[in-house]
Amino acid sequence: MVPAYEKIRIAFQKTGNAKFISHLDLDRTMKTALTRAGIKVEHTHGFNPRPYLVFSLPSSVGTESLCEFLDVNVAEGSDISGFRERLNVNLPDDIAVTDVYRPETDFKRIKDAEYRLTVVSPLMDGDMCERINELFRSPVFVEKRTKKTESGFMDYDIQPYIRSLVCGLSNPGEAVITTVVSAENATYINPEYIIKAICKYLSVDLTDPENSVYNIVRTAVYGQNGEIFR
Amino acid sequence: MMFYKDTLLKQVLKPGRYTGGEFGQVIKDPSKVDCRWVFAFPDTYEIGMSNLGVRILYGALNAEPDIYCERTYAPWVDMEEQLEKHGIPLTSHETGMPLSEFDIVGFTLQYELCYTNVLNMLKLGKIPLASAERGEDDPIVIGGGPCSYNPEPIADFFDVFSIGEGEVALVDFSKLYIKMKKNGTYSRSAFLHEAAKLPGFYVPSLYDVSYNEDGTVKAYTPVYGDVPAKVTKRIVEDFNTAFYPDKPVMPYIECVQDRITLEIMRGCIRGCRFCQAGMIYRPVREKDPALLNEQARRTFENTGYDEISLCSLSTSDYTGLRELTNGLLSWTDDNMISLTLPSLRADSFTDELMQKISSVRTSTLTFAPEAGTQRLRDVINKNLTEEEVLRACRVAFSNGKTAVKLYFMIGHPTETDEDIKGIAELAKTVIKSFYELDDRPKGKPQVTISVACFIPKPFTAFQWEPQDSLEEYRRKQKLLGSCCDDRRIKYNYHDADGSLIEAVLARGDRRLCAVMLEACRRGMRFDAWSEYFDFDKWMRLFSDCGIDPAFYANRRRRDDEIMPWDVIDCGVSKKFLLSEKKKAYEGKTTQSCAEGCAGCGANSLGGVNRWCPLTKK
Repeated sequence: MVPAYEKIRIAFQKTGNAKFISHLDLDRTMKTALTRAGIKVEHTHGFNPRPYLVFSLPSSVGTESLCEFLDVNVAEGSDISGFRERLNVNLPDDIAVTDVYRPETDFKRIKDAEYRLTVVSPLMDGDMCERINELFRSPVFVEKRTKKTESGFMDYDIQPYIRSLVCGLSNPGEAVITTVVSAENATYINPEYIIKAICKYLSVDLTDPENSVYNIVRTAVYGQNGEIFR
Repeated sequence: MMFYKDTLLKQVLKPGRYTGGEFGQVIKDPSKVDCRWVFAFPDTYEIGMSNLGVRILYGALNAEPDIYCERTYAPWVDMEEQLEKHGIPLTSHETGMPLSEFDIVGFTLQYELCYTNVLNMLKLGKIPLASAERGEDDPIVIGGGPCSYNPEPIADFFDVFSIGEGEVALVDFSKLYIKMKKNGTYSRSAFLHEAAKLPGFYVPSLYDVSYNEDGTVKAYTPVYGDVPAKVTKRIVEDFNTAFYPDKPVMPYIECVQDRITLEIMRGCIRGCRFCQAGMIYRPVREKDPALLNEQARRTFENTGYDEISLCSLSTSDYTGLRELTNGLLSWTDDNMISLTLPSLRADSFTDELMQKISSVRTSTLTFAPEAGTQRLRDVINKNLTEEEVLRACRVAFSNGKTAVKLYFMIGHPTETDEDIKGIAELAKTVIKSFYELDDRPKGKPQVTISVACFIPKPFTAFQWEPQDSLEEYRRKQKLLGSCCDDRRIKYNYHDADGSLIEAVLARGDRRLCAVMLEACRRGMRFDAWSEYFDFDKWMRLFSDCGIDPAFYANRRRRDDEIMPWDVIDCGVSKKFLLSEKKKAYEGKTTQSCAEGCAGCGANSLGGVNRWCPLTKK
């Protein structure tokens, strides 16, 4: 008899060192953490059974996130009240589960994501912030990996998929960009593109560790009607 | 500084190699410890994190409240470029401290081709390369692992080597360090002199080496009277009480061996004449099956791994195998954990074992006949018949497998072209036996033969033997290729180039230190990686340093020649090895420890164990 399973959603954050963990490695980290926490999840049914994990919208390597989601199937009617604590003691310090619940939504509803980009550089002043705000009001082409061209890259206008972008100075030499961009499959905007575009169009190098640093945090995920996704 | 590292990590491939912060890493307050170690693995994170020895030593040292052991790995070339470009030293994973600020830096030496990485890591860690150039504030650099049984080619760069099993020895070593620091008697030279008197520690600078006119070693002379003339290897007496790492660090990125490694036995009862591990890990000591089962269970709870590998040099020789596998299977299936048994001998592979390792998921089965004909298998003392190989393959086929892998080596002493052809013949016989089976699975059989080049190693019966020349290796590889005329045979072979360099370093002496120093100056590293190994560069290097590689690799040693590694006593006597060499040429085999004691001498080391009847209590 096939046991009955039901879907549960694990909402978590990955910050600090964990932002450098790729999607595939996050998958491994979560699988072993679930096992350590004693949470039995449904396995795939092939020759090589593996825990069946579905992540929504994994953030790219180097990006911190306060809103990641993972769906797994557990035995129907499981008591999930202790899952959050059990997972947290079994996860690295930089990954923290914020909530475990029975979801009412589907990952397909995800439309947009909000990011906060903090840029620390002597180049950042009020004038530069204004230029950044101006930049994203017209088409902005960045190089994107693709299988369509021979070189493996194509120029891509990201501006139509940027819903909003505001750049302001938070401290001298420190600018904060808050932006909402598309998170849908076909038009997904990697927040690193924003940095790339600034470097390209405003002729600044934000990737030189001697002079500047930047950090990107995904702060929210929105559904089709602009509602906070959960 | 945190942000600084951040930007660097965005420039490199696989930043997870460098972040640290993994689940299970040990965090201590550095101000509350008396001795700070960093364990440096001279290869990438993925290789280093897979190493059981490192897991053991990391755990054993950190089990001591006054010692803090951290980890570091060889940065890949992209990270190395970033470090050099920005003048940042190589640091530890746990606290991000530069290597040069540690008390002790430990390198594990698993294979000869990692030597260039060792020097490169010292350079990146801003530690003076030569032991003689290090000052009072520099760390003590210690080496260990299988290559330290002949550490001479890198002796100049190490202050001391740990010979044998380190889980107890390194704690003793650290305690000596702490004691001398506390009572004010510490200086580099005083500490190294004291360390050389601890059992199992070899301090190269305390031995003068002289050479004969023909280039061979004349003598090793201790500088002080109270330093032993021969350093005897240290062992863990009772394997049941040995430290077992049941809470290893969980790597963030996928590693080569990402599973529970259960070490069931140390040493091997067999005595294959080419095998170094079979000699240096003697005497054979087994661990209690019930204890192993308990350790496996605890490790599973701490790690969540879905695979347990029963590890030893010859797993099917472990006498508690049935009890252990039954014990494990009573809970592993329910938890979707599969068992794997590497190092299975064909003669003891049974239906029962096959079913036990395939209850959840299976991998490819590999057997190692090592040589293609019975005559040569007798020469190398493999003690395996063709019928036993065929029977093992039939078990695999009957249980639904269509593919098997067979390991061989070419270049064994006394090898002829008939032996080479015999490898392909054996593969063909395996294919034939597939079709003779009534219960064979659907599909075509596939036999993969992987063929390595023989490298004569210290402390083996073949330590006196010349290695085949490169031309001869290439000729034999081609000959074998021409015999593999069946598409159901897949033929893989190792490049002979790397084997020659390994052979030079494996049996080299201290004069090779100049070569290694120059290799580092020329920026050589990652020589175990085909994309960075450059044979021509090595040949130029030898020639520029006035070293003839053939002297080390292809020369037959006289029976009475003093070897560079004679300063080390691994327990197995030279007399035994010589008699084994003689028997090899006579085509006579030697019984395994299970059948009776062959008198190798390792029992003189003591140890609580099963096999040595003459063990001193």
